[in-house]
Amino acid sequence: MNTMMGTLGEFFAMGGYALYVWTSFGLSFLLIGGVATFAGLELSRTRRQTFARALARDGDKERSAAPVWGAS
Amino acid sequence: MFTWFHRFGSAPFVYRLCDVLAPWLAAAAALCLLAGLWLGLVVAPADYEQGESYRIIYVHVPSAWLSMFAYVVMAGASAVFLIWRLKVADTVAAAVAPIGAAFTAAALVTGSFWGKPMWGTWWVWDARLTSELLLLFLYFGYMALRNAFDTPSAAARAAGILAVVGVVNIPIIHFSVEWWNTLHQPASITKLDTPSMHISMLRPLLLMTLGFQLFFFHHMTVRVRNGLLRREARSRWVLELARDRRDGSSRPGLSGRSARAGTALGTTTGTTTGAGTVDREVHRA
Repeated sequence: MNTMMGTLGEFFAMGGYALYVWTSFGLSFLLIGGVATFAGLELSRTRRQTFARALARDGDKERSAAPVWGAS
Repeated sequence: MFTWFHRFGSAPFVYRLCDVLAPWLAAAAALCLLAGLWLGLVVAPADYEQGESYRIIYVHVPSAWLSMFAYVVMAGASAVFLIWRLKVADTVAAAVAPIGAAFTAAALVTGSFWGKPMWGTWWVWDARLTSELLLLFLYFGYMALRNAFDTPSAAARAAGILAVVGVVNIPIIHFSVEWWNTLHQPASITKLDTPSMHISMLRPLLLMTLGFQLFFFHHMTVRVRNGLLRREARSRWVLELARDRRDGSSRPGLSGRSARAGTALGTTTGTTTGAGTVDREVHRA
């Protein structure tokens, strides 16, 4: 247990460069992951809205056009 | 002969292609990144000169590489858009700009955090660093220019020209470490036959780079789908997708419309020809 904690501690210490190594990885993850997360949320929102509007428009059109279509 | 090429100008085809590719790209990227992180942070030995600090390379080099790769994609797509007036190409160019900027910012930040312990300074007006900073401003300029116009087509053309002209910066970034010998070290992955890194250090770097690359392509599929849906919100194929989704039918493949959408088309021909013409006009650019 002690040795495992020791190795883990050593791992996180990064030979004294912990601040630089982990900040680099952390900030990159935040920057790139942030843009990616935003894009993912944006796509699901766009999908929901666009599809809902398309179906609504389609419904309106079918309702208003149906009698005319039936008569001709 | 060029029909396969023309399909890439078709928004519904590109949308479906993205839909099909996305989960595979995501899974492959996650695998590469996890393996790369494990091998790079845990398995690979410390550097004899730089100690553990060199591990920043595993996020710095992939970010820097993708910052340039994304720009070349953006400039190439912009050129296709400007020359052939292919609107899908403009959607692709607009889609990669934000993630390109994120990669560039990550490369600059990680470079800074690597430079502090190794060079003793956060920043130096070295050719490599300066040209990479210029790349960040090019991305910002591109995105700002897109938003500066009221008409989308004018915005696309102006931003496209900026992207194409700005591509001169890419060889400058790449060769800066050879042309001006300053603080930044030369390229890490140049000669794969006689690599300048030990294989135990090189393998995670290649895995991380591949992971970033796959992640980038996955991100592209997300942003391109978003852009296509927005641009063609009123077109026929978006309505068909919406119907497919509402009716819970299985995902339409690359071959085109699902049988369900086909029958819907048959029953409502008279009422939807208007949307059909819009659809065709949009695709022709």
